[in-house]
Amino acid sequence: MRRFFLRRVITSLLMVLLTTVFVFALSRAAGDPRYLYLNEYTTTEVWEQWGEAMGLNRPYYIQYLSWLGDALRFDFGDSQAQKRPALELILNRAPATIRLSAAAFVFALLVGVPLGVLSAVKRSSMGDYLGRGFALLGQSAPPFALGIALIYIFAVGLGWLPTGRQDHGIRSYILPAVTLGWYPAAGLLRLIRSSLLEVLDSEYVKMARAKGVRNFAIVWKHALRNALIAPLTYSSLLLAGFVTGALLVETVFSWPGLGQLGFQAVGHNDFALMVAVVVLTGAIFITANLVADLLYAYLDPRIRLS
Amino acid sequence: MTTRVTTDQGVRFRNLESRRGLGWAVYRFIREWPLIPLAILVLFLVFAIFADVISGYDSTGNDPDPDRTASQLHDRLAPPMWYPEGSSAHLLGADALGRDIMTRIMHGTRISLMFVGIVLSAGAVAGTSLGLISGWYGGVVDEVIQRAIELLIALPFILVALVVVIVWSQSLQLIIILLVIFSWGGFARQVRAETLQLRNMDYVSLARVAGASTPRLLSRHVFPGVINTVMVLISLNVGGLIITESILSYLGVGIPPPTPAWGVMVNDGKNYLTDAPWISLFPALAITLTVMAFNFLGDWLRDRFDPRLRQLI
Repeated sequence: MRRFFLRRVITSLLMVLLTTVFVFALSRAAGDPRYLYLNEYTTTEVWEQWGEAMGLNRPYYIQYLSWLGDALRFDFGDSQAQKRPALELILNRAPATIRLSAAAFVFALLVGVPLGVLSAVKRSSMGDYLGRGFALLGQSAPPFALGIALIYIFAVGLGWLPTGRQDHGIRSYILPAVTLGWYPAAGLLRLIRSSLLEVLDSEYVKMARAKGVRNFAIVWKHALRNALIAPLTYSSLLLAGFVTGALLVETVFSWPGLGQLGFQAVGHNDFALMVAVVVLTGAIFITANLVADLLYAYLDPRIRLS
Repeated sequence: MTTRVTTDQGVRFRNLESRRGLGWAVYRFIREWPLIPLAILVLFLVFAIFADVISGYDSTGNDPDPDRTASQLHDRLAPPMWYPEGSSAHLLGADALGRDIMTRIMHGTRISLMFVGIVLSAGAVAGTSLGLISGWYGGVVDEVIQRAIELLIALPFILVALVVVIVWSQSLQLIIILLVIFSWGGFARQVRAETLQLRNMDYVSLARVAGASTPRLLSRHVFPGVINTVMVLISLNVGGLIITESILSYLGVGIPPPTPAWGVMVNDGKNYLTDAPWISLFPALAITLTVMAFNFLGDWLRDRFDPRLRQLI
């Protein structure tokens, strides 16, 4: 277990490092960063001064190491469009994204788990078809299409819910959270359905049935615990998926979060900000993957052996 | 009764069957064969191939004919034909520039399907070859390829695409290359796992003893063993790829306008949801229907040809 643990942690660290190399290489491929500050008053001397100050006359690997050193201290430079440190902007926007993701996660759990159990226990029932239809729609409609359809039905057509933005309190969370949570809920549902079906077929469940345990206890106490291993791992990946999912949902609902920040950075060619967003979200992504793997190995010892 | 079955059980069985009748037979047939998804796909395929024949409108709105351009401006935000003020000139209405939605959806189908075809065939070829090599040789090569796949899976693709588009400005080629780079990993991973198994099979060892060269072993003896999996993986990947492409186009970093990509069309209409919902909703519906049909078909192919993959996806 210890060896496995160490190996996974080290490879994850290497991955984060590789991500930074990749992003740095991209940032240099984008061209000389001095062009971003260039204006009609820039003389050759000023240009050279900038090169000196930014360390552009040094070899690439030194430039990378100094950039990495700054990044490790969470200094990603200033956003060119907003003239403020990139990290400050990110920290300002992060809470909105975290709240939205949390709401979407709750939605995914509240819908995915019961529907998954229902469609496994009562196969070919109305509940099963409802669950499978829900999953099918979630995995076939891109988030923005879902968001726009939901806005059209519940905000424009029926007028029940606001179209987003946080100033409407809890009600403004409903549509964005459902849009963001639908795909993960669908994945969770399918996973729980298939793994629960497998577990319900196993010997120990038959034993419990023979013993006369009530169906409710068999499903929710005996079977579901073992069936939850794969979905639990998946839910860690879900958290990682919210990072990119939020980007899309936030642009649809004009939600002032990280995703919108990253998207605006693209619009303004704001490189420092974009790099910061990608490095940080990449790190979150890789960490979530690591947690998923370790959790899986911890919960199911069979994984470690193979 | 003409039945020759004499046992109680047999008779009961026959009666059950006959009571179900024709409706049951049709139902069984539909359940067994993916007819509805196939019908949807054939419809979209006809749209893609005959878009110019079916509709006389220009899809990009850059019609060289000045008369056409004038009537196009007159048709701005024209509603679909079933609205009271709608007409059969625009079956599904027109967008804010007076371009026919139906025409643009048909041309969008063409773009999407071509895009997916190119990306998937390149990704499948690259992934399969690298997977074969990785599984066959093992060692350092294997290690490098596996780490590369892990890196690609770990990166948030859409964000990376946004950065890359800032660096090299938006173009169709760039998006295709990016998606190929991000899509070969899944193929390589699966093909590698199967190559590892096949490599130690007796028939492969015997072929090697008989003097077959490595390229011949890989292409003639191992590759046929993995082709089923590759085909099923291709079909399972189509839906996700259409979604990814539409997301990029929606965000404005995918297929550049005025080419009518579905994602771009949804984005075009998102500020008109109150007055002209058809601009966004029909392209969104087109994406969803196509992806749904492909997903259905992929699941069906998997269950039929490679049920082992069920545990993975």
